[in-house]
Amino acid sequence: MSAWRHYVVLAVFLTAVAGLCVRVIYLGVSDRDFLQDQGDARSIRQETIPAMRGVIYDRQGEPLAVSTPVFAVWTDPSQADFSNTDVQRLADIVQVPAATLSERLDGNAGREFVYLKRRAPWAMAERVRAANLRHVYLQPEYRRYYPAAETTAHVVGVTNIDDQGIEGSEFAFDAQLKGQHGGKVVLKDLRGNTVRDLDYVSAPVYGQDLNLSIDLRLQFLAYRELKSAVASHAAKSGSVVMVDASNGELLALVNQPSYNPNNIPEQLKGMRNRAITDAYEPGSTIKPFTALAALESGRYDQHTTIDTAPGFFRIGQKLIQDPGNLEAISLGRSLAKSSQVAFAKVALDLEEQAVFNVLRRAGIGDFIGTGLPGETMGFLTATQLRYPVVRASLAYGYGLSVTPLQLAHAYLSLATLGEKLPLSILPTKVRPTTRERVFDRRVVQEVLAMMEGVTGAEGTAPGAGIDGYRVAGKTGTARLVGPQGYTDERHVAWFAGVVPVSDPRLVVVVVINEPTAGMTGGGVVAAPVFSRVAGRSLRLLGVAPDAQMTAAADNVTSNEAAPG
Amino acid sequence: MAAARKSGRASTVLLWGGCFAVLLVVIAISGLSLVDQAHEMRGLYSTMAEVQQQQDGLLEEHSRLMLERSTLSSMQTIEAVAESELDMHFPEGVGEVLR
Repeated sequence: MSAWRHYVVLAVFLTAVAGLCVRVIYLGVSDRDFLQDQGDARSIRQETIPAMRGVIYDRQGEPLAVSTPVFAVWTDPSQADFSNTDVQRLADIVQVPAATLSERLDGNAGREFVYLKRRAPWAMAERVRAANLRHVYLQPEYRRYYPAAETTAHVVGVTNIDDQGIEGSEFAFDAQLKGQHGGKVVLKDLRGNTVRDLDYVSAPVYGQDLNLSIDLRLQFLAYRELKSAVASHAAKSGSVVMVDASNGELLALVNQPSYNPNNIPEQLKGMRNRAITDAYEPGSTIKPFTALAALESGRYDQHTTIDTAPGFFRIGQKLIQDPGNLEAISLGRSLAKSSQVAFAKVALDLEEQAVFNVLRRAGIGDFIGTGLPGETMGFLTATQLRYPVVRASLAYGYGLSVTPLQLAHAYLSLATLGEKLPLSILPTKVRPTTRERVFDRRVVQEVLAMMEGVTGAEGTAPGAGIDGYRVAGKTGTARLVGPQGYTDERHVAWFAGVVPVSDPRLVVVVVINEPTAGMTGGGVVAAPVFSRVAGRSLRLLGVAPDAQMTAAADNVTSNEAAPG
Repeated sequence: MAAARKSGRASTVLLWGGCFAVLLVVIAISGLSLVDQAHEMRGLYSTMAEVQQQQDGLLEEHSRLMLERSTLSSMQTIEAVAESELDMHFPEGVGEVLR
């Protein structure tokens, strides 16, 4: 055994050790940052902590939209390798067909993230956790419930599956409702389980609650009556808008068809908020404003006689006619009877811009600006007022279009005795209103007095009367435009009213679109809905009756004897 | 002279040794307190996680109860109960209430 072999082995080992040392220094010093980053990239994750969305309440504090914590179940198909029994087990827990699950897993085999189930409730998440399957993770999220469902669907709106508002107030006030996601940095092990939380970046800021001016009780009443009316008249659609006459707050806003926001798919037809998006010709509901223009001219009062004989009237090619010959009638009676001829004649007698200006001042053609998505402005133009036909038809509500919301806004200026104030979906405490005087108080009072005749026995809408309350309203029956101009088959039935007249509290607009079950007039289709909705709403709000009860009128000597 | 230098060197050694010992003790204490702090943090963190989960559970219960209450107090329910169970109805016609 010679010494050199000893030294060779020693040299080899020393070289190896030196090599390792160099390698360690190289990895630890010069490659350190790169390796650290790579290591972190594999094990450190930033996770978002979702913020809970604020609750939407009605004006009484009844919840209209509530979030509740749920879980999204997800997996990483690139890592996971589920056996058939695993898939079956998962399918049973999350209540999704096993075939759907395995299809989803196979279809996304190369991906690193696939949802197995969204919005899994608490109990289901517990069962997923207990099953202890590898590479199946839970991620907290929130789901929205709408307790009043279809009754408030259009006002409240909906969120999408990622908890963002996409319709109604959920969309309009999304910034306030949504809050701010928090975040934390966590260390994960090989299997993707969280081993340790490294850093709490920020706590989630929960969204603020929102109070709407809607009153759920009135909303429910309006919805029920509208629904039954739309069904019994086999109508295409309908809307009711109810406004608090003292401050312009929207108390109820309902549409038919509606949808259930708790279960959205396949219901797109009912999703449109027709009361604010759909403009129709208002027909005779405009006549009070024509009467107002007439009174403003100073040449008319409610007793001024207008000769409507022989019941029709020709302007150029256009024939304007009443259902019958009303002979010479007063302005008040012509409003109660809704005479086209009388109002055409009045309009032609007034200044060219008179009726148009009154409509403009009442806010017709204005953008209301409630903030709800999809609001439209209808149509009102002054460009053709030089033609008598246009002026005459404007006087009885043709040649312009309004949304039910706009008509309610216009009638609000009557209910406030001449003050225009903005409509608001939020309580006016939150959004203070500005009042602007647009009509003379006494003129509006006289118009309201005339409008009371509409619901009288002689008027077009005795069905709109409410026992115990004085009602000022106006019917409207507008013909719709078909392929050959206005048709006689398709109508829009309107009723707009203000109650109680002595101290207006509510403005209610009812529109029923295309009733097809025989009756089409606003007086028989829309007016009874108004009567029932407004009547019960007044009682619910505790508004004192300002008229004698008809049934007891013979016996009662004092107005105060109203039964509660 | 030499003795004095010798005793001076001894006191220097003693001084440095003392400082070193004190430092050792301080380091040991700080190390132990670090361990203790880390342990406490773990404990607090797991408590927080627990409390957060509890909060989620309570939120879930709260929203469930809120929904339940609103269902029970909805006008549909009240009307149905009033009519079917309590046999109530809206007054027909109008009569004067005399006291």
